[in-house]
Amino acid sequence: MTDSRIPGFYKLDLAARHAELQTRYGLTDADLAVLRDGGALDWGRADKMVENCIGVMGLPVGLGLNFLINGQDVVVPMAVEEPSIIAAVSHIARLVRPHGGFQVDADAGLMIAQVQVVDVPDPVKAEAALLAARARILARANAVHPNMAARGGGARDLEVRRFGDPFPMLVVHLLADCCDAMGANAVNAMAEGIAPLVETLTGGRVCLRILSNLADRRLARAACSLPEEALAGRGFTGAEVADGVVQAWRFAAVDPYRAATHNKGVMNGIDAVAVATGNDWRGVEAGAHAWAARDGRYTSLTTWWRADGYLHGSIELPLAVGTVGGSTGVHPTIGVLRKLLGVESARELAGVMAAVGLAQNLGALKALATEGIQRGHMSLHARQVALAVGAEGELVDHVARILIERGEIKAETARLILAELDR
Amino acid sequence: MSARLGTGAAPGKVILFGEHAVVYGQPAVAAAMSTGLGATVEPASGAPALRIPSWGRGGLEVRAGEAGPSSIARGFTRALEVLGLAGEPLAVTIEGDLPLGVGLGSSAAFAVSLLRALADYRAVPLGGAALLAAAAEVETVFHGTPSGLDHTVVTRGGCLRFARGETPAFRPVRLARPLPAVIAWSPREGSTRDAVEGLRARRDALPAAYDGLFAAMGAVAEAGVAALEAGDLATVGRLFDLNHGYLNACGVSSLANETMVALARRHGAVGAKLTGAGLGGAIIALCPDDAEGVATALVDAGFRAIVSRIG
Repeated sequence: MTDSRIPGFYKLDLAARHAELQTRYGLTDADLAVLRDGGALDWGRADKMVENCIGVMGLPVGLGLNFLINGQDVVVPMAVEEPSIIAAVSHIARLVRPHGGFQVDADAGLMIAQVQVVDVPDPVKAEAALLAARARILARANAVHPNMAARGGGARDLEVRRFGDPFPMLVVHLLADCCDAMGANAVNAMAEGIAPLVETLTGGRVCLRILSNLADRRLARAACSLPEEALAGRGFTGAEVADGVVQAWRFAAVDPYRAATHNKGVMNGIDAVAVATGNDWRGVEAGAHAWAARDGRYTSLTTWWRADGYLHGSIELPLAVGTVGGSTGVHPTIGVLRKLLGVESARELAGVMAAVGLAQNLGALKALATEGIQRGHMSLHARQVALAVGAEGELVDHVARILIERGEIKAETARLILAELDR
Repeated sequence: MSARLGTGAAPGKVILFGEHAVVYGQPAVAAAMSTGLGATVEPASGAPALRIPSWGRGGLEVRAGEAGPSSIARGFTRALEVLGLAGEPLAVTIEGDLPLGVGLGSSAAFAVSLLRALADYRAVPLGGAALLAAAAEVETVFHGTPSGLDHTVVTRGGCLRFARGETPAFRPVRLARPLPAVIAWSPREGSTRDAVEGLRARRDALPAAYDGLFAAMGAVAEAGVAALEAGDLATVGRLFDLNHGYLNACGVSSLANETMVALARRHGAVGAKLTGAGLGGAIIALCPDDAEGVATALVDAGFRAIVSRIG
């Protein structure tokens, strides 16, 4: 795979960046035209996607650079409106890169379809009857969606959950391997297909038949380690930064108020990749947060700790994403971005997203623990002020840097600096 | 923890264009259905057992090696032998709404779903040419010498154009989108052999008159491929109607076939035709608007019907 390091990419103009994509990743003129064309989703197609369609809304797409994932270089397309996310994730990927990058793995594409059964006369007997008919129920589920089984997936197992007061019901879980698809349509069809048989076996009445977004049989994991000295900078020692990161993580580990914000930062990166690859980011969000509360108290999706002079981090979360089916084939931009990303399987994609989430989290914790998010935003603000007073090209960076050094990010100061530089 | 299971499935098939004409060298088009048969293998005790709860009256149950005329038992025994599982203590359950013996590829789906589940149970890969060969072998117990059309479509899925004597005999047809269809059926009034041999006798008496019909069906099939690839459902429907008329002219339709086709059209199908050998059996109706309504009308008239996506 082509190197994911593109030194100075951020300094290039859009045309020069496109030239890089062409030479490095083999994008064609047609691919680049799609990227330039404000999203390339035409009206006609958009009108077929949603009801009462009135137009199309664009989002910026950037590249998360420097990623080394399981020894492979990966450039990560990210579609997101918030500044700093892509810069932060690329910065962390670059820090981690010389120390082995990210190690990731992901489970097979096992989704859960739920069938709710109420008015069951004898729930204990009904549970036994369902489990005894496991082979029959799985066969029926697979008959409803033979294509999935032909690809090596399909319904694999069955579980029965019993709920008592105040709302007694049986819930049948059908576990189906959706391979490289997200699988919503397939498992919904399977749940519908087994419903009549479930009613016969339980003597109850089937209500809902639908997938669960808590896809906890489809987890993805990522881990990284880096020597503490690699974190040193801006007047802080590596040990100080590592300690700050771990303290920040502990805060999220114990306090749901902090964990919500901490995990929002994780999802900044994961959602951006989900959007860029045409995946259902609401489903990914729902699964991640439900998983973060799986022990009854909402907590951090990541873990950070120090050992042997290293900072170690890991993440584990459900990632029900696909590389085929769903909307992944509908949007032309998604096709081009998938070509850039270069992953074939849903498991590879989930692994990349886990690595991005972990990197995004470290980026946020490192910034919070050291210069502070405010300072980070300050430099963006300074650039905007510099631009507003007419700085161009390399002068923008230069003026912004001086504004921050003087601690006075004002238009008047920027004008003075620009005048001095022009002289 | 649950015991080790093997799972597999295979779709049913429908012939979209060219049944019967294919015997006379014309092209045919067939496609997989969105529904089919699923098979599950689990450990059990005693000789290998096979249950198909939705076939026969109150379900079929056979044991491998069982004496008697049951082609299901013989097919099961062959499949176990192919996978090296003869005599293993296991139980297979096959489920699905695909009916037996109405020309929807049930015996091929039986063979392929069973082989896939057994291979999964043994944790051995079985796909491509090996699966096709094994499926042909199991299917032999049902048909003598199968044409290869059924198990090829069922194994490969999607939509295929088939022409005897061409190389390759099968060519994929890339559907612009799956076809929204209703499949309905009634019991067969004659076997495939009756239909094929009866037509052969009529044709041999008047070859010039019949060969023109076959050529016309070939032209319908070629136009059908183009319409399918373009996603032009209106034209596909018109070609269904045309093809059905030719099949009627050939004498392979029945009162039940005609009734089902007429009902489907009256309730909004954009085209309908018998599918398979005819003399009863199945019809396919193209229903882009209200497939449920068409299926309900057919069921209310005493036929069996399912809504299915084709291809």
